[in-house]
Amino acid sequence: MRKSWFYAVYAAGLVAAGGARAQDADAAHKLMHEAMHDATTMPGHGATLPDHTGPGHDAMPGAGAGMERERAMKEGLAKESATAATHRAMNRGKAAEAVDAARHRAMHQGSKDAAASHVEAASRAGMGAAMGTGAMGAGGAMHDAADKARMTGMHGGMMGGTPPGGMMGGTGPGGMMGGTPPGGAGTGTMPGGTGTGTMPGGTGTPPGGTGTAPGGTGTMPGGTGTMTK
Amino acid sequence: MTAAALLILSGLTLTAGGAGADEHLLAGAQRFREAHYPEALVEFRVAQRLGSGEAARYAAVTLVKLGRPEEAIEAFGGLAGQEPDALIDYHRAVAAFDARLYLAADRILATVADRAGPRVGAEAARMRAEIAATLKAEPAPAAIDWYLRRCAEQRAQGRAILAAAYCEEAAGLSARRPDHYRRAEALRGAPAAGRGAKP
Repeated sequence: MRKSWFYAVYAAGLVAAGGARAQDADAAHKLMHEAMHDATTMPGHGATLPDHTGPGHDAMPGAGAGMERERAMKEGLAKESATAATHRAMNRGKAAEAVDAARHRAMHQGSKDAAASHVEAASRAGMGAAMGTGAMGAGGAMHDAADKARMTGMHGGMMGGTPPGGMMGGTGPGGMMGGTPPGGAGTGTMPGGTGTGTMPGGTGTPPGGTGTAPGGTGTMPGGTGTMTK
Repeated sequence: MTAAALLILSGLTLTAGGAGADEHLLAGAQRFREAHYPEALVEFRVAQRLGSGEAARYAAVTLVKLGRPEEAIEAFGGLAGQEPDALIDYHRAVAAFDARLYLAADRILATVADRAGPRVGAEAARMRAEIAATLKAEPAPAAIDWYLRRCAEQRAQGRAILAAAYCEEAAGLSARRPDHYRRAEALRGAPAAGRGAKP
């Protein structure tokens, strides 16, 4: 009798859990469908065929400095993105774009919510690195780190990138890595991590990170990491 | 009794795992809805790893919103074929457009107009008009060279889906020239035409 009761409760639990799961999945699909529909916008740039192949041409269409600035504006990203765009444009000798990006950076001073922007900036930094050096971008690593942190029940976790540097914040105890120059700065609601790159380490709101060279600055209120050489 | 306990334990474990995937899927959809795309991407990727079948597509759409079209194309599994959902296909076309794969984008968009609602259909029509205007002139050899170079670069990095997509684009552009500039070379590089190629 006691055993039957136990199995009955167990079976009911499974059914309930299955029902909740189906509800979650269903809700996710409906919500996503609606969100995708509302988020449907044409690309913010025109179609142009690449017309030269020399060095300096954008290796990745859509990831150029001008594009990035546009996106920074459109998506309301904080100044990090615009800063990255500025540096990228300067590095590529595109003065007009650099100036333009700088103007937008000024416009975005003080704006925006930290974590999302930082994560985004990091991914963009990774793309920039890929453009500039052909090196592996950092975006994938960032998300892997974040995924791993989530999977293991931790939060936060981030990364830096190769130039022009990345940054990140986390929502919980997590780690972060700096990158090769100029490294990243992290802000978040919990501790920052430590930098492991060859240049600057990270910084975090509570305790900042450490790096092997001076580098990144935080863009939101928060501490700066101690740098070690 | 021990067997029963194991059964219960395994049942609970399986249940918890599946529920986890859907929870992350829902969390991703919520983050996407709030336009917090980086967080949405993490949620979708976690859901994908936990076994959600839909998460990969949603992650791909999120990558489009994040301005990472090449990764999006890979996450979509390439640019060939047709998705059951016109909205997914629309974003697949945007990824192609952002990667300058205009012929691929146009081909996908051609299938979207009839399947999507008026708003998305109108957006698709506008994109197609822009692509048509861009491709009106005969493609320059330098443009074809660029696509073939991208194809080779992606192949060297082991990104077969992207390599095939760029080579296919090069082949398509080459076909619009009377001299079929480097067309045979482009066709050789696009055997799988994207989808189905191993990333």
